[in-house]
Amino acid sequence: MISTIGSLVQETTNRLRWLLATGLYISGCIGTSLIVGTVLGWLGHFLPITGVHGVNVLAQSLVGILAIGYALSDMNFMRLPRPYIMFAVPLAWWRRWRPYGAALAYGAALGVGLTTYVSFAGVYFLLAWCFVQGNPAYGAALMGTYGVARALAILPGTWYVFRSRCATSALECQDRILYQKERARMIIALVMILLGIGIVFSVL
Amino acid sequence: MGVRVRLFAAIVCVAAVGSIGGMLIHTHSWVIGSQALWVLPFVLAMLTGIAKTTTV
Repeated sequence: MISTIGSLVQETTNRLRWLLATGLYISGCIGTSLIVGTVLGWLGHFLPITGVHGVNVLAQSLVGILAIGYALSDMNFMRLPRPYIMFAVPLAWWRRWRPYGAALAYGAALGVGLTTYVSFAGVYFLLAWCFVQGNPAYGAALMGTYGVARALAILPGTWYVFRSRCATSALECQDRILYQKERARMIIALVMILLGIGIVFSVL
Repeated sequence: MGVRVRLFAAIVCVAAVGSIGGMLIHTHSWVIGSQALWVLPFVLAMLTGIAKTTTV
C-alpha cells in the first residue's frame, strides 16, 4: 500500500492538489469500508440465534477459532488459504484517471479489505465478526474504524513524498515503513489470539 | 533468548489472559469483560488498518 503513495502525489504540484488527491483517496477508502461493514452486519442479522443471550454461539465460536488459526498462520506456524480479489491495485487506473480519479478508485478498492493480497489476517476476523454480530451499525462502526485507520495512515507518507520531491529520500522512507511489517504482523497476531480465545471461552 | 522462544512465551501469556477473561465473562463475574469483547475488535481494526501501510 505504501507504494500507492507515490502515485497519489506524483502529479500534485501544489498543496491544494495534494489535499484533493489525498482527500479523495481517504473518502473512497472510508466510504467502501462503511458500506462493507453495514452490508455484512445486515446479512448477519438473518443468522439464527442459538444462545440464551441473543448470541449465535456456533457462529461466534467459529469466528474465535478462525481468529486463532489465522493468528498462527500470520506467525508462520501453519498455512491457511488467504482469499483476495487481485494481488495489487492495477497501475492502469492511475494511467487512465490520474491523479484524482485514480486516488478515488484506489481508496474505494482498498477500503473493501479483500481487494488486494491480505498480509494481515486481522481483516478476515473483522469481516467475519461484523457478520456474526448481525448489527449493521456495529458493522459500519467496526469496518469504518478499519477504513479510517487505513486511509489516514497514508497521510504522513503522502505529505513526506510531496514535500521531499526527492526519489531517494521517498524510497528510504518507504523502506523504513516496510521494515516494520513483521513486527506489526506479530502484534496483530497476538491481539487475534487474545480475542479468539476470549470469544471461544466466553460463549461456550 | 531466541525469537521463537519469546514468541511462544508471548502466545502462552496472551492465551492465558484470553482464556481467564473469557471464562470470567462466561460466568458473568466480569461484566466489563463482555464490553471488552466489543471494544477489542476496534483496537484490532485500527492496528490492521495502520499495518496495511507497511505492505507493497
